[in-house]
Amino acid sequence: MHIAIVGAGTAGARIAQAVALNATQVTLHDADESAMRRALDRVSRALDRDVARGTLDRARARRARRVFSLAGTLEGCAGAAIVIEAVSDNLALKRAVFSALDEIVPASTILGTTSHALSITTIAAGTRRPERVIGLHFARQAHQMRLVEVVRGARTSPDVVDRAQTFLRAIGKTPLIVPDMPGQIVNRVAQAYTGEALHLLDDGGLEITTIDRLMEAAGFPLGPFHLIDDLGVEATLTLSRAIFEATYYAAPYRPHPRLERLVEAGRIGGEQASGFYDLPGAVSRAEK
Amino acid sequence: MRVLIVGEVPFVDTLAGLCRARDHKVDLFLADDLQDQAALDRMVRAATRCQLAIESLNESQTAKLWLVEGVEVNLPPDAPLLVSALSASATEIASWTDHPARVVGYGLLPPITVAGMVEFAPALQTDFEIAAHARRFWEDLGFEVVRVPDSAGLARPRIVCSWINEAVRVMAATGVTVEDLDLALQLGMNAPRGPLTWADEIGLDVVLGTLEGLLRYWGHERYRPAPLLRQKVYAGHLGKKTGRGFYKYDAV
Repeated sequence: MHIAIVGAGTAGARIAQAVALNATQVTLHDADESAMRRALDRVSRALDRDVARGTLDRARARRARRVFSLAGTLEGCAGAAIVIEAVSDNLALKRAVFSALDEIVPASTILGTTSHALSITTIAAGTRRPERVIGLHFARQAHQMRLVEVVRGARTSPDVVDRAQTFLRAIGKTPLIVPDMPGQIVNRVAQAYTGEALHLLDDGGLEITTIDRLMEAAGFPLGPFHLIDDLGVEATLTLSRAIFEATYYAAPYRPHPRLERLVEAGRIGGEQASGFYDLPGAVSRAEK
Repeated sequence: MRVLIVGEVPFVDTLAGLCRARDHKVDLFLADDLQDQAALDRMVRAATRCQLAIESLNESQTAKLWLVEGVEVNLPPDAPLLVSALSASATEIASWTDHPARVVGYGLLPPITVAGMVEFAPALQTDFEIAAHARRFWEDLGFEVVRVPDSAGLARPRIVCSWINEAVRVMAATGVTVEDLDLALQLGMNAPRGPLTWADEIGLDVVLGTLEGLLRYWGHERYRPAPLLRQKVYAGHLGKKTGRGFYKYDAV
């Protein structure tokens, strides 16, 4: 099966890597040529590392490289059975991608979106074929984690839901159909975990390291502040705002000011930036 | 040391096991059994001769008040009383007693298979020497003692019960099944167990009691318990200990 991924950021690259190991053809496209090169590099290094660790068969890694290609234009995605959009979580940007795809791909193509903060129904409404649009929300470590939350928009056709699930199982993922709401299930519930830790911090008397150590001792691989840094402080704040809006500003979902202050200070978290913790060698975005 | 342990499963069983492993003489009473006058008399006798008492009952404010008062009034004057600060702060619990200086809060969260970390929260009234004594007691049981500010729910129970509460809300609002919800959090967040499985382990009444304690302490609607959680408790579906919570279990 030919799968195309639009958007070569961290999420796009990880999804491309997961798909490349199990599909017959993977095309990665990004309007930014250098982002595409970086993503290719990153996937390539990840495959090397897995081979070196012995977790990946050398022949399979070779095959993954062979099926992987970059497309300089969106037209390169035209032949794909499923196009997965993984650009930044911004409605205007996503709608622009989908309306461009509307002109290029055949009617049978499934259009997947990785948005976690936006409504699938809203994104789909901007296309001429809302019944072909489906949310495919990969876990943050898409290349390692099995779960994919499959979001059915108000007009998504049952056939598209079936085919998307079949595809996900074929690449070794566990699909779970979830309702169309910001954060879906995982991020929505996980936010109670990180949010409560932020409130606990407000009361004083506990360091972030102590709170993380307590939760990690309780069995969570990442304490709440490690988790926020891993997801990205900015991404956590964006999601928190989306949930707050979607609940018509219900008080329990109010975004935490600490996230806002960190983002303002350029401590956006994620892969290359400091967040709650200092990342050695990282510079904050404000200094860049 | 002679230790009196009173309260609810699974907390008291674990504590009794750990105490016995350190050769403490344990008198163990389940709060439910104290409805019986003979058992209550036995508990009172055990209280008068113990050197340290541990309380763990969080299903409701009134039940906790009744138990703490009943135990404390019978303790020897120098015996520390370690109280579980899930559904009320140690300071509030101490205020119910005749000798608040001997009350020290703690927090544990099931499942506890080995002594790991115990949250340690002296009340505002706690005597310094008593607090030091209580700390040594926990350390002697093998716990790493982590000092946390005294408030209802302390740290871990507060975070975990809030997380469970949101999971129950989402489940009730979306119709996602119990199994799917747990699977999503296990796979998507790498949680050690799904929130609903965890609620069954802790006891739905204890989760509810902790949330109500948090709501009373902070007054913030963030802690308002999900109505479904309350319904489950009314129905007696308290989790593993009653054979049915979010899941069903073989007879216990």
